[in-house]
Amino acid sequence: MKDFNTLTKNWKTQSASDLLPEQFQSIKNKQSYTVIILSITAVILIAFAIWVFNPEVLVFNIGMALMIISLLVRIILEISSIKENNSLKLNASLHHYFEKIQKYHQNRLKIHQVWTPVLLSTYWLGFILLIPSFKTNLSNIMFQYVCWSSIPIAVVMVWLIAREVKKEKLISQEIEDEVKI
Amino acid sequence: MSQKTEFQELYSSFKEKVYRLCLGYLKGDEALAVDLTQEVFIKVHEHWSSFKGNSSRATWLYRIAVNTCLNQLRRDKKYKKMSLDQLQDHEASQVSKDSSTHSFKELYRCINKLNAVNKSIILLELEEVPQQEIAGIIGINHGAVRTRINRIKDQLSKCINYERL
Repeated sequence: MKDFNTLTKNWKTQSASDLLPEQFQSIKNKQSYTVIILSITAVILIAFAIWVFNPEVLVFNIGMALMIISLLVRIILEISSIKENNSLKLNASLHHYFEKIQKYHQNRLKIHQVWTPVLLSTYWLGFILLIPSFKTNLSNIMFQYVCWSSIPIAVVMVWLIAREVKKEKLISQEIEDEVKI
Repeated sequence: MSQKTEFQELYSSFKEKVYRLCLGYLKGDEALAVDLTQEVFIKVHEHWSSFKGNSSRATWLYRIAVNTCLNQLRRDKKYKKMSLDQLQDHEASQVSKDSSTHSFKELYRCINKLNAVNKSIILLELEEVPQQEIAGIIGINHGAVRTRINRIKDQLSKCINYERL
């Protein structure tokens, strides 16, 4: 049986100096895209709300407000999560770093499991409050389209949340396993 | 000395060491190890001002390297653990390439059976990083590092020798 030192004596002969670049390009953060998409949606909703604003249609205004508020809260949560991620000290010891990462993922899980369903319900409640106004102001075909097209959107949203929850749970478990002494 | 010069010097001195560290986390995949090494030095550059001189620049760099490697492995699909079949296919596709990494395939396979902490300890040990420094990088005491290194070496020797049979 060969000992460890014999097995690894040529370890340092592995080299890639010709492959390593002198200039670097940074990766983009996927979370930033989420904020951008949510922000664009919020801006569109706000512009629509201003455009159609009528103080006499209270239910419609409440519906619009609920949709906009839920989006804005989600954006704030996402930005705070990005900030938390950026504040992780990469030059900390491995144990300390993993502790922080675990906490970060627990917070992400809380966002996906608690905040997102609440905000999504609020968003859809807002949408439901808009339906009477849609029925009054839209043609029958357009009204049917708006109502029916909302169903697959809702299904996709629920599926996305379930996927994120599963992913965060898996990551938390992986981290726990990786740092076991 | 300017920051740029200091960074370039650090890069020249440590790029091979960091590359081999990444190679160890990635079961010897050279292309991915190059990507990950690049990512490590991007982080080093971004966090340059966070070095306060409490440890050596090497310890600081290795901390960033270890954390970045494990972080990317966790987050990025392209770095996710390859299955044994994928690894063998990958090796077969590179068989004509003259590379010293192939002689370490059993070692890589066995290293990847270790958890992140043990994997990091042994990869740093292979780079001959002093044990006191490894303790600082991982965040455990020196005695624990020494004990653990012996245990990991035993584990790896057994793993490699028995899997060859």
